[in-house]
Amino acid sequence: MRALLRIAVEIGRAIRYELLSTLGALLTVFLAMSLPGALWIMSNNLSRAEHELKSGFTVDVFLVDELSAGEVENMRSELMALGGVTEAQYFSRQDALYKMRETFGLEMIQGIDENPLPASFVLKIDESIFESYKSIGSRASDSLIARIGELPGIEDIVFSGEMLHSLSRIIDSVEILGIAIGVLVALSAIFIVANTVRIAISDRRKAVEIMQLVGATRSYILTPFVSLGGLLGLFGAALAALFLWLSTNFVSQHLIKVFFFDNYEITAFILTGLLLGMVGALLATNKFLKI
Amino acid sequence: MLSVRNVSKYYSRRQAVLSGITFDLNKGDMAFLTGPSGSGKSTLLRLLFLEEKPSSGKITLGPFDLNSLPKNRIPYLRRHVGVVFQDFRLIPDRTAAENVALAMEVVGKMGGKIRKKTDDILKLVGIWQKRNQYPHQLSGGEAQRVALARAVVNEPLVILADEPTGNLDDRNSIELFELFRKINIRGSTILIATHQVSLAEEYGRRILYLENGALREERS
Repeated sequence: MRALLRIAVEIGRAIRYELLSTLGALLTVFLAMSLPGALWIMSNNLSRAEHELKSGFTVDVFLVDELSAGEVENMRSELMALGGVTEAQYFSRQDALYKMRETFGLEMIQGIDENPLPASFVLKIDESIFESYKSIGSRASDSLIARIGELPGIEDIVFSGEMLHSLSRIIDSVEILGIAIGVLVALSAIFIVANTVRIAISDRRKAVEIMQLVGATRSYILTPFVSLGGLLGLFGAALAALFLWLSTNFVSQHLIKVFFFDNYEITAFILTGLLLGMVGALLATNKFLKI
Repeated sequence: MLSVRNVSKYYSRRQAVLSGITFDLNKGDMAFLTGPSGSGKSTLLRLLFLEEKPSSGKITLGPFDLNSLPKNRIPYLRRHVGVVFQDFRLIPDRTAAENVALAMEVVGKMGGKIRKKTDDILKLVGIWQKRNQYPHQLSGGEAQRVALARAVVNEPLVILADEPTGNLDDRNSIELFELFRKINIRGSTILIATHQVSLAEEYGRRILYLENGALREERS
């Protein structure tokens, strides 16, 4: 308890002597953490959208002819045996007409004498197929589509995988951009904190020398400076988290539903700030405190 | 207690700042280290609390072999050496009492004990009334008493003083030497570097006379 009090007093002294540079460092860490934080949130929301898209994603297999009940079962078995198909629902021509009427209204089908719609199977695809699609291009899903196409009685297959592929590429880009920017701003945050701690050390140099003289250990002398760096990182990240939370709330209320970090992510985000601050402070103490 | 054996210190090959210094201090001794400016007094003292390492020779202080002491153990040696400097070396934003307490804080003593011991020692050096004053509010003599209190408070194996009266007038110098004697009577071992040979002689203690880095004469 007394040690904590001592550290708090030493940090208070450092802040009091260099209030402006401390506030500047806090602001810089806040800005530095806000940008990758925003990209992280964006990536999370895109991934969530991708997941939702995958879970509702289907392949429409249009048939040449209407099938009898026995033929439907045979074809369903063949489709399910291809691998990657989790569900195959049959829609007769009549079902398709009902569906069209539900979707577009009665007027759309008025005046049509004969039902032009083909019978079809609507297939749900295993998510692993999409993962393969994402990682190795279109081969896995193309191969599934090709195998479906080889079955007899197929007229057409509609698979909008390209959209998913584009989304995956966007998510990948955001993640890469987030990592690149994250590394850059992490370095700048470390540099700024290191500089602030260096100034604090410079202000306290005489006190440090006297502490050494009376037998203070390295850790006794360093702890307040490293704690100062850690606190700058911690509060900078906490401010950034608050800013991002307010921003996501604003966007959710006025534009589109956006999800903020979950509890683990917010903890990791703030601890990252703490870690960056401590690393900056340690670099400064190693360089400028020869003890 | 303190053993210095054939110690030399070189900063360059040609010039020895200290050459073959040998002497001992026993527990309760009080000795003066005198000699002209540049004779190596301060350098010798710096070797004794390992602000510098000797180029050759051997120094032991109590259980510490200073030649082989690893860097991370130096703070533990310094907890057993009280040092007083000419320029006081007080932390400017700490009060007199806080400056003294610092020496106890770093060795991990607890609050109540620190307060009591600080008060006792400040009374001993006659500065208790000024315990809440900051160094810039103290006169030179008062600041040096605070520095002495800080050096003494942990009851070190030896107290080293480097020209402690260098910034003081005659009256304050005499008062400070009286304090050293008082502390010595309580059992502390003290080595004082001073160029005020006459003042040292008045106390009738051991005098080690350094000249050109060599111990020329030892009187008692």
